[in-house]
Amino acid sequence: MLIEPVALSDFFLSFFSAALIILLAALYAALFAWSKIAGRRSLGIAAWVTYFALLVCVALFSYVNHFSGYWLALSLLMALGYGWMPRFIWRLCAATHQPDHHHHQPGGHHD
Amino acid sequence: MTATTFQDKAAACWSGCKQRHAEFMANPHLSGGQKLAVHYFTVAMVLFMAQLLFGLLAGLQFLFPSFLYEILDFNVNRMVHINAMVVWMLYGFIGSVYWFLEDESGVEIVGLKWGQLAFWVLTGAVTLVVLVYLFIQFGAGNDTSLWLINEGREYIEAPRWADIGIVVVVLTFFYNVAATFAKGQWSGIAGVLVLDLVALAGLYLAGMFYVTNISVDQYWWWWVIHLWVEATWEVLVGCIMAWSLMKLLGVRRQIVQTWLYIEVALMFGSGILGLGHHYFWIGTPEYWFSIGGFFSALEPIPLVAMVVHSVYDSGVHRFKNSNHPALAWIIAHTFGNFLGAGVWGFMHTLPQINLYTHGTQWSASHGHLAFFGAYATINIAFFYLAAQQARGNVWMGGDLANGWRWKAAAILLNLGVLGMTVALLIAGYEQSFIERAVEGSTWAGYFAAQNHPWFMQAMVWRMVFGLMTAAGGGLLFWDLVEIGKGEQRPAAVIASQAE
Amino acid sequence: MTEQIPPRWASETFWKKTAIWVTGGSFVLLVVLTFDSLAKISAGGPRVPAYSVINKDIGYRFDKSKQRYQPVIGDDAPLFGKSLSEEEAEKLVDLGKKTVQAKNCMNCHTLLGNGAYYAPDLTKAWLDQGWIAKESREQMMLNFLLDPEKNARTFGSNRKMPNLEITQQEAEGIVAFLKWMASIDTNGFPHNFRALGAED
Repeated sequence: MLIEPVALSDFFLSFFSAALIILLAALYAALFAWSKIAGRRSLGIAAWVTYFALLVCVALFSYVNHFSGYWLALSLLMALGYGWMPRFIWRLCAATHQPDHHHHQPGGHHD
Repeated sequence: MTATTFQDKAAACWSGCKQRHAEFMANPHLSGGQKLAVHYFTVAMVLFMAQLLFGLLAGLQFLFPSFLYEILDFNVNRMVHINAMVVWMLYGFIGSVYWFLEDESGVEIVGLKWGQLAFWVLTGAVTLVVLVYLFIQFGAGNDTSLWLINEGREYIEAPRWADIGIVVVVLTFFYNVAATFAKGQWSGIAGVLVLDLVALAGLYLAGMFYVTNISVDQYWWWWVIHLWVEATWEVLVGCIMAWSLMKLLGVRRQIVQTWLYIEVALMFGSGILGLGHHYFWIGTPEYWFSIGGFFSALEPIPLVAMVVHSVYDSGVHRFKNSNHPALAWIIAHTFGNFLGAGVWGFMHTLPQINLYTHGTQWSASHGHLAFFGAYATINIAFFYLAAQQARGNVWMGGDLANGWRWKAAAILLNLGVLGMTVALLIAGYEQSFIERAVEGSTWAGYFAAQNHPWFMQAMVWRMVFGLMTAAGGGLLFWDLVEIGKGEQRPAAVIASQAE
Repeated sequence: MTEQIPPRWASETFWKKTAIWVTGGSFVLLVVLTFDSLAKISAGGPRVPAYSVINKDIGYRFDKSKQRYQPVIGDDAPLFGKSLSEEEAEKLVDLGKKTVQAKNCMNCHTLLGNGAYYAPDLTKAWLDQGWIAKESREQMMLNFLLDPEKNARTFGSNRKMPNLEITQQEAEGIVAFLKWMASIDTNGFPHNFRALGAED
């Protein structure tokens, strides 16, 4: 059997934890980026607290959705992926926005 | 009124229209492609109004089922509602591409005359299709009906003759784009855009044939719907945004193009096989559970990337902006896209819960916010850019004459759509409980859920917020017609990115 | 100047290549899966029965080994009392499918859960308890389709199906189409559905 549906009594928890996963993932990403910009330790701590809350939500979501086997691996991937992604994107931002002194004409040829 | 006075009035109206059109075609502030773009934007706004009107009619029928019964039934209103949406989005995208084509390629549009002809042909065809929808509505169960009246497949109901017409028009559009870039400068944006248009046109073919087997029918139907909305449209908007970021905020081309490629990798990487989340219950094999689930979990990643990037940009650069309404709509886009596609999508996407939410108002709730947030907002932002340029690249910063109007329109539209989304969410939540889980999706269960006070009240609130949305839409139309007229100050100058 | 160029992994060319490979790879995978899925959902395949299934009794029961609901094909139960050949059955279902499209059913109803939400889902409409008993079902469905106003089944909602000028032949086609659709293995959707005649 591949899936075991959510129990009626857990509908709310399933919707709520799913929504929180995405919201907390975004909040964590924002706090992480902001802590880098502002260089404030408190923001870094807030980012970690948010990430911890995200982990709790992933666990709750996995529990009410009766995840096992493949689906648990997916949960793990989400937990790691949403944690690592903002860091990777940040490095990518910093690397791609490096100062460049070539003068670029608008509409010019670039490839 | 006698026949002659009526004729006189019609003739006067016609010559008035022709004169206004001639005046517009002499506008010194716009290039040939930009004039064609404004044609597309104008029809897009008219269709947006039609979408709102028929949405209201369909919404009213939930409250008063005998309203327009057997005159304009729910299926007709709902079909015009969603078709008007699809077509106005496409008009907005096509218009936006014509808008920046000359600037991006550095040459005049190749074969502009054909593009103009295609616009009038397409607009005439759309009008005819809608008139047939409204006045003929349905035919007998044979091929003639599918070819001439209605194909009866949600979102792509347009009869077959119109499908063929749409493909011809899109090929003309494609010719304009590809030939112009080929003659002028080819850029990264040009490459992504041209390939994306090939995919966009090619995918439409997947929706142009009839099969008896409903599972095979829906398999290909999703190729068009999903791979348009969650893949090729997203990338098309990415191209439009990439150009806008250079023009609006002066971001360097190399950065914009690198990020366009990153976006393509993320969007297509998660979106193409994300198609799997539509293949849970249509007869297709069980392995789509795993594929659909996996890629659905990946689909919010581009949104998270966007959050990091926005914070990075706001911290590192101090961007100036010369068009406040457009910027406000781009901000609405980031929030609407994140909530509508990201949060609302993930809440009901995995098969463990989708078993109960599939085919309920959940989809309507998600659909309203996601289409609005991801696409309507970005088109509206572009309409404001066009209005600014058409009126002589005038000031559109703070303390604008009648600046209340664009603000009120934006607030009403955003709150209205969000309110409808929440109302439909409550209806869908109740439906998944009562109809799906407890009553097991029987007809009696369906109606038990429809008659439940939670559902009925949700439909009332949907109507209230629908009226708010329509008011905002009307105000937006008025504002786009008026904004910048009589404005003497030139637009604020945006310097190229300093660093 | 070298330190100003973005590192290779953040360069435009790297991401251009990545975008091409990711898109191409996903698309090739989708094409492969499409071939497999289409083979499995062709009529007469393991998941979508041949059209002549309308000659049989169709049920929908909870399958303990699969832990989900599953269509069950039973004994002979010809539709409208006539056993049809495979070609005749396909012709009748085809007429029904075309009528369902031409009458724009999908903008009120859902089919396999896709469509609009103003009227009930049609996936298992053939098996609905609303038709009271297996003996009365075929005639009730025909009567309803031919004159939905007079034979309205509103369940207290006041929502009535409009008269869509469906002919007798088309109505029989629709019933055949609905019966055939009810036999498709939809991975357990809808869940918890108690089919007509499954009580015993």
